[in-house]
Amino acid sequence: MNSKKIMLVPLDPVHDVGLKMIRRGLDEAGHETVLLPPDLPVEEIVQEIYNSDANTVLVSRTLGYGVAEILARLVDLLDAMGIRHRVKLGIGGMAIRPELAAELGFDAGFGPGTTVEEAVAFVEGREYKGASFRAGKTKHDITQGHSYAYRHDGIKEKLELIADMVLSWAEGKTSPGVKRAAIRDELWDVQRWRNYEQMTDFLQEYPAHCGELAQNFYKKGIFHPKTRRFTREEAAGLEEYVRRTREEMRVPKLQHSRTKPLVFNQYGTGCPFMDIAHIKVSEAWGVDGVVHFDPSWGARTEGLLDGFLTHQEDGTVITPANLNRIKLALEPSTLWQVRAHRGLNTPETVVLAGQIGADLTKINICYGSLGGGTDPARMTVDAVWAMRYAAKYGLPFDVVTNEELCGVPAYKAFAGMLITTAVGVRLGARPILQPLFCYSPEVMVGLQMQDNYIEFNAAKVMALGQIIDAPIWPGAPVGFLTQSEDRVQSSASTAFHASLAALLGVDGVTIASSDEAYSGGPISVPSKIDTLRAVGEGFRFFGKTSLAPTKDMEIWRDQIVTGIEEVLTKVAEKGDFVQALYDGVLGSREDGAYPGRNGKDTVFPL
Amino acid sequence: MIKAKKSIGIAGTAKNTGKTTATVALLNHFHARGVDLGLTSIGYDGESIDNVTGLPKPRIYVPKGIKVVTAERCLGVSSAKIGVKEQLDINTPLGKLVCGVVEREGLLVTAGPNQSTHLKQAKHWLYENGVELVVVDGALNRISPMVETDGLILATGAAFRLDTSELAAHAHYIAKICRYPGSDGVAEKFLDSTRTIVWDQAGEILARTNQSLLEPGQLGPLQPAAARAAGFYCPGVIMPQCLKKLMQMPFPDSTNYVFADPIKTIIGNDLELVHDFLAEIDRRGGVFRYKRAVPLLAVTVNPYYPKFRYETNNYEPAFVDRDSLLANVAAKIDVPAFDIVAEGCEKLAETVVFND
Amino acid sequence: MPGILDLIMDAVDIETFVVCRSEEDGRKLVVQLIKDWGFTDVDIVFCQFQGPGARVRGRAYVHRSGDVYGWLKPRDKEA
Repeated sequence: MNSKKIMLVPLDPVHDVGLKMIRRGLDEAGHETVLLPPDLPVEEIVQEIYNSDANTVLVSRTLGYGVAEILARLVDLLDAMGIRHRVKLGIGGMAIRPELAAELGFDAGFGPGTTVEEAVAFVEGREYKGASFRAGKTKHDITQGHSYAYRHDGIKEKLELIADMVLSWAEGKTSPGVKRAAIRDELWDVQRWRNYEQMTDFLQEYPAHCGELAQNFYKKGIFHPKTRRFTREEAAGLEEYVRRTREEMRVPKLQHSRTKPLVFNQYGTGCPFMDIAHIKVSEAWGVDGVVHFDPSWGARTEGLLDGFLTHQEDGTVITPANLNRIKLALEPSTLWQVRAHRGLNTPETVVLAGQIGADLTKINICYGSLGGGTDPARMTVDAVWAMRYAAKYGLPFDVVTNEELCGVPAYKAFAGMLITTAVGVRLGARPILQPLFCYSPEVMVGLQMQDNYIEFNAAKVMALGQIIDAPIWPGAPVGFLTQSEDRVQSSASTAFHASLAALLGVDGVTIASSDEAYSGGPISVPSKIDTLRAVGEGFRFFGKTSLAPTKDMEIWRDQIVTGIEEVLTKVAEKGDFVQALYDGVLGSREDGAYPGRNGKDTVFPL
Repeated sequence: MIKAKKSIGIAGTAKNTGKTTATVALLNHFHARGVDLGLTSIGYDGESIDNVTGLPKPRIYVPKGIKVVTAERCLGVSSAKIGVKEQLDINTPLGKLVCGVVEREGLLVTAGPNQSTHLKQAKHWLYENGVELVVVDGALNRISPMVETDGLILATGAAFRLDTSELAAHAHYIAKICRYPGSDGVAEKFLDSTRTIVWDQAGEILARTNQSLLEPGQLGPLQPAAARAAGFYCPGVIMPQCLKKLMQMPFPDSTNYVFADPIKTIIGNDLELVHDFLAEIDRRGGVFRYKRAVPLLAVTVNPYYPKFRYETNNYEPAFVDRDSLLANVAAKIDVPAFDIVAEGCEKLAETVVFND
Repeated sequence: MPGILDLIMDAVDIETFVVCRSEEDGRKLVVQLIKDWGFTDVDIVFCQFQGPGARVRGRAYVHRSGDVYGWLKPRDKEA
């Protein structure tokens, strides 16, 4: 690339700091720059340009009435002097848009939020209009750089033992969920489905293994009472909307100087159209990944529906058509998680997510059994298969510990998380640890958060780091039970928790919207922007600062590690992981955890 | 009706002076009479809201069949359907310029070539494709690309100056400056020079200096030759201070002066001084010509202006007295003046056709 | 062509401070205010009464999930 000569012209009465930043970027890129004094008369500026051999001129000026005429006169003078064609001319400042740049006779206009890279691209004659911006954000593998090596011998030994126990227990067992997953895996093909080919084999086999709701759908065409199909016009309108949005889409980065944590938010308005709208807004405001929420009845229902369906309650129905639409609307850099974790469709959801092209899923035996309402035996056999499919389709999955919200102490929830993780690693999958950053019943009673929200959350991450080298993705969302319905309070809380995650060096973080605590209606898109803005500001504020361990953090870290080892010892002594779940070893009725009943007595020998 | 291919520039003295209104009126007038029309813009026109004041603006409604040159990204925001015939290798902030034909009438947003050389290429395409009359919508107070047109219509009004007599004086000066003819053989052989030159009776070049004369010092090299000069040619911009200096230099009264075009002096922003310079040449009995004449065909006046309200920090539409504005301007200038919103476009259109 | 309200993606929030006697009073006043503006699907997201009145975040849903969304209708192109 040839080095360029650039004249920087601040037309405002004071030097524009933006112009100085651009100058630095240009200098670093090896270009030669000249910065004129501020507020010169137009004639003098033209004279300077005329006398120089600059091939690019960048002008900065805040717009107001009459300013447009001054800028136009600058362009006119350059034209009349026969030097306009010799220089590329850019204008930047508040309220500058491409339309205005065109009106003024400039070659490009840079409004607020223009990056130095964009200006450099313009100077170098590379594609203008943010193309480089989009290319700048690429999809990250959240598990990258982690070996899954154990760092704690005692815990390693017990986890290996329990993993063997779980796998041998599940050996030779099946369930309707496992059968449907196999049918989906073998007889349903996403390419054929996308080509509208008939899936005759699939449709012959599949409904027999479904519950009443899905059977009614496949055999009689009856929908769930709260779902409806979209019309052709609505679908066409959506396609046009997505096309238009993508054309203008720029994907900013929230992490400032860090590369981690990746920021996820959740969608699941019930309507895939509204979900797509929410996703596109979130992407435009910097989210790195989005998490699909399905309705709660989805976890209790045997079998998945099909069709492009909307649903008027919280959570969006998982169907091939809905997931496919959402997948097609995503920016190339956006990570997409489809949760499978807690219900009767766990393994099949992993298969479908893998086929449609999701990046991540979510599986946890213990939470699914103790907080998710699914029978422990069923959850175990289904989760083992789900992890096999996650390995097959290359989907890392997080192991959520939401049973903490029921009242299960962190160390017990973590013991369960680590068991699922150990089984997953054994099956060749890539699990991600998901400790909660929350104001849990445990700390409300134990007072670990009486002074601050930092130390106990930090202790959780530190404890996990002492046990295994695995990716950590606190969630979900961070700050659970600290957020109120107040926009400012909840945005601030989210930003602080996300910033803590950054200081702890974790890999990902899921954030709430600023109306997450409101239960009277769906989450709104401005509320999602609130927290993305707040988190970005938090990352900006802390930069690469580190967090020094405190005495309390170390004490709690050690207590959690010890607690985990004790729980694992009890499970190992019991000799039966599933029985340990029923018996409350990983979370008891006194803790607030109840073994689920959905899918009870549906595990059969092969 | 149009004898030869012709291009008309609608230049404004400021934003909101009525360029778009005049453009639309002329398009409709000539379209109704079967003239093959071309339209382009040196700015960004056709948006519904002003980029600066936030007030509504007139829209450009184009009939089927007219040919346009506009930036790619304007096509998507226009309700008129343009059948694109060719893409020019000219970049704008709104994409490359494309040439095409209106296939379905409707509202058009235009952002065309914004420098002279690019306007020349756009005009060329339009002529090649059968256009008889090209209308070039101006931008703000921009005037330099209008060098490429065969005549100007000046749109002025209260948005430029609230004081009607000041406004009339400004129009008067422009009319005077544009009145001088093309070189027509005068000093022909010197006019390819890319520098400012002075020659003597024998046709010998005596001295040279910069192409454009931006400050009086640049006239220094001509000083020793001035007294022996028969002619003076400047191919670039001449700033007012340089004109002042020229008047003080010992050029003989009969010197022939040739400037590149009227715009090269108008752009210096002191029209009164240019006017005085020209009057002085006339008084001395000298000859003044342009290498390329750009006649002023007519002036349109617009009583509208955006009035800033300090209380609310925004603009509201306001008007000066329509009749006295027109009367004042018409009395002052020696080209026709119109208020086309009040009196229609008929007479304005005639100036375009019959001023050949 | 859709009206401006059709272009609201989902909800309109109004945040204000209303001088009132109690939290309940503040809620009622703001719900009434938003209804007076012509919205029908109205609720209070947040209300905290302290001192002379209440900090209120009121909300009107323009489009709930599953509705037909105005922002998907074709827009007058040049607008």
